[in-house]
Amino acid sequence: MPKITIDGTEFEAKDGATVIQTCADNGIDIGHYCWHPGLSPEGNCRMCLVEVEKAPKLMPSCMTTVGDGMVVKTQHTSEKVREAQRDVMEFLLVDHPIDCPICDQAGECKLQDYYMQYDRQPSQVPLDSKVHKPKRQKFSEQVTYDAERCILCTRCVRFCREIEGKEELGMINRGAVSLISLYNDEAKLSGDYQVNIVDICPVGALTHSDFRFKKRVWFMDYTPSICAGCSRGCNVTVGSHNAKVYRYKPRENQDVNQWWMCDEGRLTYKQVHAEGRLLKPRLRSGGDNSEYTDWRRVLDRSADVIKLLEKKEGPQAIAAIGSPLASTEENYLLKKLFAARFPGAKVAFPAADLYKEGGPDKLLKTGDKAPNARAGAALGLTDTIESVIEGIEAGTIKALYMLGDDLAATGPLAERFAKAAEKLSWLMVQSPYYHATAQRAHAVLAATHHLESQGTFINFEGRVQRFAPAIKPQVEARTGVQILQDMAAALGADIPGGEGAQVFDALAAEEKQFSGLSWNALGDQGAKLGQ
Amino acid sequence: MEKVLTSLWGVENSHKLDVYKSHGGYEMAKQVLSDWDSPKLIEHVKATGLRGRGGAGFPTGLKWSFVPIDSEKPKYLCVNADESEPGTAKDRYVLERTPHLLIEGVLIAAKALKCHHAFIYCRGEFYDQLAIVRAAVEEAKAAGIVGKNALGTGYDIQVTVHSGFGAYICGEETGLIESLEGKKGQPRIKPPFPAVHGLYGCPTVVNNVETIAALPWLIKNGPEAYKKMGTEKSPGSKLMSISGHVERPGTYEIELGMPLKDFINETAGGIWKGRKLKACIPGGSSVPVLTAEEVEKVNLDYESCAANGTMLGSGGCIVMDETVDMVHMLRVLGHFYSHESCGQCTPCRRGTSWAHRTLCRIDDGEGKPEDVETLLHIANNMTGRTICPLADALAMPIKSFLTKFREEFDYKARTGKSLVQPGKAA
Ligand SMILES: Cc1cc2nc3c(=O)[nH]c(=O)nc-3n(C[C@H](O)[C@H](O)[C@H](O)COP(=O)(O)O)c2cc1C
Ligand code: SF4
Ligand code: SF4
Ligand code: SF4
Ligand code: FES
Repeated sequence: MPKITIDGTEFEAKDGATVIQTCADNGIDIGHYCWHPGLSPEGNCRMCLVEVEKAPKLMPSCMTTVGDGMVVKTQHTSEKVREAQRDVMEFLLVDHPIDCPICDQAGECKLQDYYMQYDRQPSQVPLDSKVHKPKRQKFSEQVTYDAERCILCTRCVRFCREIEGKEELGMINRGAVSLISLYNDEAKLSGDYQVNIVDICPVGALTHSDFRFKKRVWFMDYTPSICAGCSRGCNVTVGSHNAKVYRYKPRENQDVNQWWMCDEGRLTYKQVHAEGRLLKPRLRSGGDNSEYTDWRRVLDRSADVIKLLEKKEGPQAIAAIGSPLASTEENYLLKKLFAARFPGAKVAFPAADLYKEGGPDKLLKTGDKAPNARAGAALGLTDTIESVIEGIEAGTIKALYMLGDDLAATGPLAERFAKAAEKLSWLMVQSPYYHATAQRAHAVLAATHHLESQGTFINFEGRVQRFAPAIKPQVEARTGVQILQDMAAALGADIPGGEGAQVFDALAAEEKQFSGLSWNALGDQGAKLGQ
Repeated sequence: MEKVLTSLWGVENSHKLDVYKSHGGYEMAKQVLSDWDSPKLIEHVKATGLRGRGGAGFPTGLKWSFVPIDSEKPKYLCVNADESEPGTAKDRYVLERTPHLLIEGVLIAAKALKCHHAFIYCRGEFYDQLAIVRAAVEEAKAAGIVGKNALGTGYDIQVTVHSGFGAYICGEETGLIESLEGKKGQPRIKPPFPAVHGLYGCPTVVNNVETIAALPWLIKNGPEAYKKMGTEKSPGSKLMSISGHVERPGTYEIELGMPLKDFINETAGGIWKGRKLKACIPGGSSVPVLTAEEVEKVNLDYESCAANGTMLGSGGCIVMDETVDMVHMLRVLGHFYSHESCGQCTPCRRGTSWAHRTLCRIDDGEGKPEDVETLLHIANNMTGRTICPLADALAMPIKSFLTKFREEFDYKARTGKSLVQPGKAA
């Protein structure tokens, strides 16, 4: 491993590593635009210049491989480097349209940030002599390009070529009128991961239709979370403000999604505000349809009915179905509640293929649209849905407590399940949505979306990953964990209390596959289940 | 002086194979392909002291010695016929008058590099020259000179003529390689150097037309004969084109080391219309300009030019008489380099264009006194910080024009008027 001295301190570098990567690994920040750790380096922006001992000129640190004994000075110790960076900033801003007030990137723009860090001089270029270029060009329904803001770092070009494997973008023209362009006028970006180019565009040249003009980024709060679009569990940062979620952006996790996420998953945050969201509990009293009610009534009434059925038919007349859409903690509390209160009762979990949709693609999508499909196996919920349906059909199961899934409308058993559900004396559905199954229920428990709660999902590779509430539960929705605890109280069962974090610690202490894990130890990057 | 490159100039149909052969053409190639091996050739060329004529004057034999000759990968030779540096018009004559001399050079270089496929990358605007070179290659193929078992020696060599699309930057060797690969012509970052990782990722040598065309003579006459000409470090002869305000503009083969003033006054017949010399760019528009006094001291060889703060470059000598408005002259250069910047790296893309616009403003009488300093600021900031030397190719003229003719810039920026009256001698 080569040794390199950076700003007077010696570091060990990985073999073949570049200077900028070595600096990044050691927490030394070097200004850069075109370099991205996930893409091949191109060395075109000239922002990352450093002084290398014995080299006649400043060297681009993104293109310079560490050699043993190399001595490097960055902007932190070299006036020459600082000057060069100031000059590059000045060049980059020569023709910049300075439309920050209407630019979505303002507030998280590398031009703004580095201007403050490196430049801070007034412009010497008369506004009327700037080079003008096309604005608002649609690269696709999702991505819009503004050539005047573009600094031609070619990150977008390289993403399409190297990550998506698509030759769709290139640089055309020469000199000051150079542009990023699709290869012909009719073409559009076609990838399933195209919005990542908006994320990696260091400036406001690429914007996402979904987010354009919706929110100034400095007003938003940022919460680390997980995409629940499939069982990959891409790490995301949620942008929200005033009880509204505005966007997902991928958050780096080398073991899960590197720096990327798919376009489909990116929009799944919308479900938190979807029309079908259930924001208050509902109760069926007499008629065919449930009506909105308050939590006291729905909990008490459900507890009363269940107790009665239990007394008449025995504890095994009550069954439960966990869900790969609900958190590990909810599934765990469901299991605990039943173990404590209805010994011998069935606690089923949908089979792994319930949410399979096509196969996995080459990059991230697993084709399994259930974020927590591994939870059932991890918690030992081995009963099948079929066995529950059979119990209902046979009349041995009278009441059912379900988490999340719309079993009456999903999968090969849907019809049979819907029919069986008619026979139940009490169907209780705890879900964020008022879906077909919830519509058949006697009690509908309005649960939060994962963006409103705290907990974990276990991805398809067995990685346990945390999510934290980005916004508060809307209206009267309650977290699944709290609903289960309330239900347990109403039924007189003793199950672990606290929020997702405490429940996780309780389950980690108890469940074999989780041994050694704790909420804190999971951190922002998650940890694998013990096998 | 012996003529290395131009002995057939003026001979009727010198571009035809039979004419070329009747003057001993392809004899050296035949000898080399049958009897010489690569190390011997490289040593031979090293011994001649031949330096690349594309601009930088890099020793040709040394450049060849960087190629991993025994690598399993194919080795490629690219002849740089993209000649687009303003003021330079020499390779075009080699192409149109003695294309077979170039092809013979290609065979010799190919043998040295163990190369079996050579490319002649020709400037897109060279419409006529392209046709001539293509026809010559076809002639050579038909005569068994190029192709399998070339000249009956058992050596296979394919020659492809490729037309550029009209971009100065495709003359930069890695820009040329990218373009040849079918991509946008943009220089690559070095290292890796083409000698190791060039065309299609294989070892590649890019040499100028004039460099390659000198090889047959060098084989025939040997290092000693070559070194009798020129200076110690700049041996041999060089094609120089001279344009601008001289009586006999044109392209001449001169002995290196010739005093610049003799080249202007004798070879090119002196300044036209009896006017006075004002300035001279000796080696193509990107090299620093010389004043009339400096011209007196400079000899046309790499060392003397360097000692006087300029470069021999591609040998494109531009002569300006006393009526030339230096602001306007620099504006023209600014236009060229900003138009030709490939645009990939920041200081060049923005710097050349910003400098050009500033020059336009001053030249149009709309400048401000501080614009002159801004120009210097731009030139300094783009020097040495780019992927290829194109940014320097404008920065150098800016700096030298502003150092040597500063008062003209200040005056025009301040008053909007020129210190000289174009076309009118003092
Ligand atoms: C911007 C730029 C343009 C160039 N244009 C040419 C050209 O038109 N012809 C040429 O032979 N070399 C040109 N060169 C030099 C080539 O990069 C290269 O050094 C040369 O072809 C090597 O040949 P030589 O070793 O025979 O001189 C150019 C270099 C730069 C930086
Ligand atoms: S659009 Fe953005 S990512 Fe693409 S080249 Fe321009 S600045 Fe870079
Ligand atoms: S791959 Fe899966 S987890 Fe990742 S963003 Fe897409 S849907 Fe979400
Ligand atoms: S210096 Fe100019 S021509 Fe050379 S690579 Fe950079 S932008 Fe292109
Ligand atoms: S980050 Fe190194 S040149 Fe752009």
